[in-house]
Amino acid sequence: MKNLLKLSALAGISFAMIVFGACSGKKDENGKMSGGGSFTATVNGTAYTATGSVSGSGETRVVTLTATDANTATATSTATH
Amino acid sequence: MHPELFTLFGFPVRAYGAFMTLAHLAGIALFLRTLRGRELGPYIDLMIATVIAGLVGARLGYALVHRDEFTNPWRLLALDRGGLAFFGGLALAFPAFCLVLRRHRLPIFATADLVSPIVAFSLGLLRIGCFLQGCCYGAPTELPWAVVYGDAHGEVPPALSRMPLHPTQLYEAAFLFALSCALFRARARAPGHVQENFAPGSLATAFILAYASYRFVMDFLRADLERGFLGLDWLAPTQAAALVALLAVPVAIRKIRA
Repeated sequence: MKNLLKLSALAGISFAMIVFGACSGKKDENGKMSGGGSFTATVNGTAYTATGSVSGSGETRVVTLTATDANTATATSTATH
Repeated sequence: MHPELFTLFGFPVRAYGAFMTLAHLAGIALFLRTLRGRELGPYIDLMIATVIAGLVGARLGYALVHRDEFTNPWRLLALDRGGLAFFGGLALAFPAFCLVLRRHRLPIFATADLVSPIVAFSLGLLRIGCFLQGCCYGAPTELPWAVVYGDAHGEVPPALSRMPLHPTQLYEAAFLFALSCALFRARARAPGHVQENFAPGSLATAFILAYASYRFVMDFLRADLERGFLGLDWLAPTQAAALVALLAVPVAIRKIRA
């Protein structure tokens, strides 16, 4: 009877192992990313400023590009990976 | 490959966890079959102690090598997020194994010989779980049997998921099943007790040396290991642990025997 109880406990421990995820750990975050930069260019006499930035963490990356001309008209493009 | 097998009461059952359970249950069943005709009580104590010590050791061993992932100590308990290391498990399971056997006045080396082929078999089953889960994955290769994980990449990073990779988990499973068969056959040739054909502990030593040699050589094909251990850019922590096992186990066994 005692052995049966112990065997049941052992089987219980084995069944509890079903919660295990993997043998290599999943990191909380694959490194955070942030940063950006800008440059200016003149096309047909009009000056444009383009800025780019990247942010996100884990497996998500948000890349934003913004172009602004002298009249402050802005075009933004965002891509998420 | 197939990281989530099914859902149970709303919880996703992952391949690694399912095969971990399967490997332990198969190991328990095989050990009980081996023990037919013997008093089971001490051996059940042995299984409980070594399984618990092995799990704790495997988790601590992984945390020791990947300290950056464990800045929050509670992360140690997040078992669903993965992280186990075989050699860490061995480092705690072996002392627990010796302590329980000594307490019950059972022979350490002869019992280790009984257990070794079963451990090899269970570990082989576990590696199939690794393959389905996508952990322990290999480096890119052009070999015809390479595998591409695709969308169901599990632990394989997205950058590698579209590339053909060495199925290192299946290489290891095949090696462990072959090793298990060889150890079972060697044990079967010595009816009753292993000592009749081999010095006690021979099969266990053969298992540890064969597995450590395999890991040292074949872990070069793995892409999931962080290299640069001890300042050597080619060395992974598992390979260092395998080298320690290769050097320390024969010395330790000789000393214990003496």
